[in-house]
Amino acid sequence: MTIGVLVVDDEPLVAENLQAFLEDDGMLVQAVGSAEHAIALIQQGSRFDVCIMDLRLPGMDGSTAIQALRRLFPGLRFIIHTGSASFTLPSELRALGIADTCLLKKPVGDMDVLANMVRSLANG
Amino acid sequence: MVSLDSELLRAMVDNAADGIIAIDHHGAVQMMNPAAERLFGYRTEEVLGHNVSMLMPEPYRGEHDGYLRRYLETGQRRIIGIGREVEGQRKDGTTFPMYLSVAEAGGDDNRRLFTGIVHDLSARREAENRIAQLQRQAETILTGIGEGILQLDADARITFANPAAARMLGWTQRDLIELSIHGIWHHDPDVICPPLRAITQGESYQADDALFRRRDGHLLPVGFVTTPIFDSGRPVGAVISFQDITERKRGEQALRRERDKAKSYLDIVGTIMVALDTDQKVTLINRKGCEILGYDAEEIIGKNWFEHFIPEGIRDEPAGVFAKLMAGELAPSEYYENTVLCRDGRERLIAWHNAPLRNDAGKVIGTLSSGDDITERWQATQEVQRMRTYLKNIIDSMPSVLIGVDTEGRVTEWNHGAEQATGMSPAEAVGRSFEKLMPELRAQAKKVRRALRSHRTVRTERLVSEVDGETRYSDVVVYPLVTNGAMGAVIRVDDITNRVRIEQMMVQTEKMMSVGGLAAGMAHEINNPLSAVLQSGQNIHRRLSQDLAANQQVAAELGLDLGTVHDYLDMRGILHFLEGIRESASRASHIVTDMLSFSRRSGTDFVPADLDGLLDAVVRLAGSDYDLKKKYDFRQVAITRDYEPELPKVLCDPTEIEQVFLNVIKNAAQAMASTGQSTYRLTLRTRRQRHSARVEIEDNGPGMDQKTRARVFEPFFTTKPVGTGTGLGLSVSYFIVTEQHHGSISVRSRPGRGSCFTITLPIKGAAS
Repeated sequence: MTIGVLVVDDEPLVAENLQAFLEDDGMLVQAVGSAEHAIALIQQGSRFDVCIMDLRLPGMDGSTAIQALRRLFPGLRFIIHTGSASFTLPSELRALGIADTCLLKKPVGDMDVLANMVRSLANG
Repeated sequence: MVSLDSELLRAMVDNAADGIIAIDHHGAVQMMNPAAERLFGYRTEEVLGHNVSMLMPEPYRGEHDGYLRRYLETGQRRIIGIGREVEGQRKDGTTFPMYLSVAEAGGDDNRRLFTGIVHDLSARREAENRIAQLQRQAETILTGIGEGILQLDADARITFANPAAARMLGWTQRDLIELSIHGIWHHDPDVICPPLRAITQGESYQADDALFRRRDGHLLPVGFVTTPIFDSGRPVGAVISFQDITERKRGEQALRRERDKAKSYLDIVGTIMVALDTDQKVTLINRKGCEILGYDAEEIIGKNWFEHFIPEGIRDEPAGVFAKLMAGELAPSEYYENTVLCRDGRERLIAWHNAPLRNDAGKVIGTLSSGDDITERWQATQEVQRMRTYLKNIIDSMPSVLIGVDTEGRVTEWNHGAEQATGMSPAEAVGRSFEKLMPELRAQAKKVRRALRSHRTVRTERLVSEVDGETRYSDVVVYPLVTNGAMGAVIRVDDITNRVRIEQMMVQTEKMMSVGGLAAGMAHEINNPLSAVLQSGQNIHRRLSQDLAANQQVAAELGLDLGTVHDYLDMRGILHFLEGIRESASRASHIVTDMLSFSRRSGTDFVPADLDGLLDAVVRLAGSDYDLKKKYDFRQVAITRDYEPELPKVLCDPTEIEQVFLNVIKNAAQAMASTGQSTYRLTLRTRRQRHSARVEIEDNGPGMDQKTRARVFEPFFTTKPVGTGTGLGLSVSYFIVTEQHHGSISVRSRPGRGSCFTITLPIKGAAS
């Protein structure tokens, strides 16, 4: 079964690279540039296994978006992909079952790590 | 009438001691006894019948016949029956005194007989003459001698006075007779009159200080002796012999004045004067001596000097000097110092000059010593010495180079710092020109002159010099010096190289912190493009490979042979450049991460951590480190763990401390790898200190020279080839340990002997 991945990143080149790599790995990937866009997709009925979420986004930030998306679609798993060095998981995200292992700090030089993480979350 | 037997009579006549001669009325000798023969020197036959006048010298001889005739005619007696002293003449013509008793011894009218008994008076006369002579001699003596002699009777009246007595008392000899001695001797009413005592009690008395009243009323100082005169064992009078002692008194006064003067000289001199007798007893001490010792002279005189006034412990030495002096073994010029013991228990140091005292015969009868109290001088000297040592210690304990110079720039003072800096001892340096000794200070000569001229301190900060190819910094201060008119200067040189380094490091650290702050803010902005670069690189690489099905599909649609494409990219070096992009971006990413370390706050994530566990985790991490793996296999390193069994957990940020350990271990591994040595050894040691834990990471790598060691924690200092290290690893570690954990990190290393990094962390965390 093909894994569905939603990439949320306002840096188009980053989003495109992730999409390209994961698609090359055989996943079905959709990339959007904002939290609002992602929420809209889910509301419209799109379904994904894993969401790779940037935190600093125009408009709604990533943390808020994760909580909103979880409410809309509790089955969605998250990988936080952030360029902020000082980020630590806030308690509300931990409460949603998001672990430190789901936190990836940019730059991820080897996207195999990311792909493996996606597969692991999707299958777990 | 008693009739005597003629034999008896004869015996008496023959044995009588006196001479017996019988004559007739003509004067002719009728009989002569043996005693008469002895007296006159005649035998009887020579005299019998001769006129008795032959036995008399003139005028008796001539007068004898007339005298006898007159008696026979008139009965007038001059001698007969009376006896008288007359002269006799011996046969040899000499005469002698004799007592002659003549008596008429009967007979008849025709023939009358007379007997003469002759008693030799020679011995008696001789004795009388002798007495007279003695008397004359006594008179001469009494008259001639200078002493006054008075004789007193039982009533103390003068019965005799010699001319000297009369002269001294101003009386005539005659006038003195019958005067009472009380009129002359002026004595204390309390004293029993000594002559009287002599008279009544038979005692002699002597006085040296009596006063006799002269006739004119003046008093005469006399010395006198009274001696009792005894008669039948009973004192009946006295003799006073006296002499005028006015002159002596005057002499004594002069002597006393001299002595007092000498004493006052002794008293006003500033030195102690002490005289000792042969028994070490004090016979004289002057006022200064009393002052210093704190006693009155009476308390000192007669005491043993050494036993009472020399501290017990040091007695032997001055006593030895005394003994030598007494033995005449010391020259008086020799000089000694010893302490004396004062009444209050204090000791004072005295410098002594000693001389033997001799009597008229030249025999040593004691010693005379003069002593200067040099306690204060000695104390001052001691104080000066102490002060000098103290100052020298201060000067030497200063890390600065301190050089005293005179106006010519010659060294007068050269402290320990200077010795260390130049390797030259003060003995070698003093007197030489400082410019020659420390060439780097040549430029200071002008400043020394300026300081001396202007009396102002001249400073030069951060003087740069090159020592063994290394840049050293010093601060040089020249202080003008005016002491007791002698001009000079003190040059102080402080090596501030380390301080400058630290300052530079601080500047760098601060720079890093501000960079870190910026990096934190910019991390997102930098990391996003870095992500794009890295990931684009990875995608490009992947999409050029022949392994991916999608690639083959697109290539087939385009009629492209992927193998040819790959060959082209390879031959043109494009794949290499692609790898370059990835590596560069990756390094940029590490730099950002390191820079971010500088922005971390301390204590935010502190938890109790097990340092041994952290070290083990780091060893595992190092084994999988990509950068290290490229160089060599970390698993080849022989790791020795020497952990303190009961090391308590340390409150720290474990991630940060892991990073420190990793940096140090990676550094060690890289250093060891650079040598190509066969065995790599790493020792990990933990120890408990009082309030902190100590971690030592020791390698057997190439070690570091002093220059590298001094700069090893400097940011951006690296010995690795350009592009290999960021130069931030150890400085980040330094920052984490010292700034965030309030611990310390240091390195011990020598070229060829490996390096040992020591990290100490407070057990209770940065807060303690």
